[in-house]
Amino acid sequence: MDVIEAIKQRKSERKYLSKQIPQEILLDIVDCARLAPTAYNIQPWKFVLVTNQETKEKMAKFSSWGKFLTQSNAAIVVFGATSKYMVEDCSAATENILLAATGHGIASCWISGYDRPYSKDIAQILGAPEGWELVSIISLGYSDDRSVRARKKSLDQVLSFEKFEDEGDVQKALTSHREDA
Amino acid sequence: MGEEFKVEEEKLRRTMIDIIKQRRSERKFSDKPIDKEILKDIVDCARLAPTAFDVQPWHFVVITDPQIKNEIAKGRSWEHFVSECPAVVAVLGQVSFNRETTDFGSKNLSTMKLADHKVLPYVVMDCCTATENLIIAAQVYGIDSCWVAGYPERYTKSICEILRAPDDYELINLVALGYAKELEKGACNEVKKGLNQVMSFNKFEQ
Repeated sequence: MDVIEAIKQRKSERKYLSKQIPQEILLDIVDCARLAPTAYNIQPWKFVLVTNQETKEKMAKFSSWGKFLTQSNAAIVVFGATSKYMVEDCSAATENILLAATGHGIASCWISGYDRPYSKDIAQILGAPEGWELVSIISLGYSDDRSVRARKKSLDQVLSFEKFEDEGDVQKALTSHREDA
Repeated sequence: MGEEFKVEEEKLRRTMIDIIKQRRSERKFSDKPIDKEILKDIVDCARLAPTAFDVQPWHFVVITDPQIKNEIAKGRSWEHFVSECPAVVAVLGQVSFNRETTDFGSKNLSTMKLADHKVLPYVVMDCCTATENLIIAAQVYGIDSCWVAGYPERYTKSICEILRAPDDYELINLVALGYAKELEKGACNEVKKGLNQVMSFNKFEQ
């Protein structure tokens, strides 16, 4: 499978095998996160790699949909330094984590976003100081790859050329109108 | 699983990781145009990015027309390379929703307990995630890029107008794409913080 196919086939997995992820792979995944694009090279991010079961359990308590975090082999928590491009930069870094995991054959699920009711609780559990905000949590683990992918909008629905409502659309509409007539 | 599968797996690992790590912003592009099928495939990777609640709140406009590129770039600090690169992708996010009429893919947002004002942060995150997919996919094709613009910017509205975006969409990101000029490749390499400066185990460390 080539890289383009791997990017396209990546999907969220919430069920993991008990197999351990070697530490050097986890470090390599975070290494990919730190090399994400960042506005003005500010790199407003910190990554906390959580493998401690007790810590994972504490974090999982704060959301109904993050319970599977306790079954994951590891979690990466991305904190952003409060700044203008924090969300942009940390989202790019998070996607690098998901892609790097995919490259290593490891399944993942992006849990949590920015500005959630439990953001402060997670920050507290991990001891993040003022000025650092939770942006994302990613669960990682090996998986037997059974989840069904959510239905995606087609390329035609989300792509246009030159303008949002491009001439092509108008032409297409006219053509189909003529065909109808 | 046979040996052949293992070899394939190893190849994927090496290429994916190398591509992610070697990506750098490039701002000097050659005149070489980008094949339209490649542009479509790159956007195809963007559209398959993860998205909260499967909302997929994005639309991608690929701009190759020099006049439109100039209009977008005029007077900006990034004018020189956005007007000169062979293609620009504008990533627009759907920042407001009509719950009844919007197609949210496999989920119906009206059934979700998601306050309206909480939708917006996810829109920015989702679009930036898609943008990073787009940038990495471009790199796979040997196409370099520079991410300009975030959300919101002073020029968000005016670019939306140029692109004739509907009212519920706003510009979240712009990406300049092209083949970097060979001699100037890596010219804008910036120093990155070391891994030990940005990561810690189980606890946040300054």
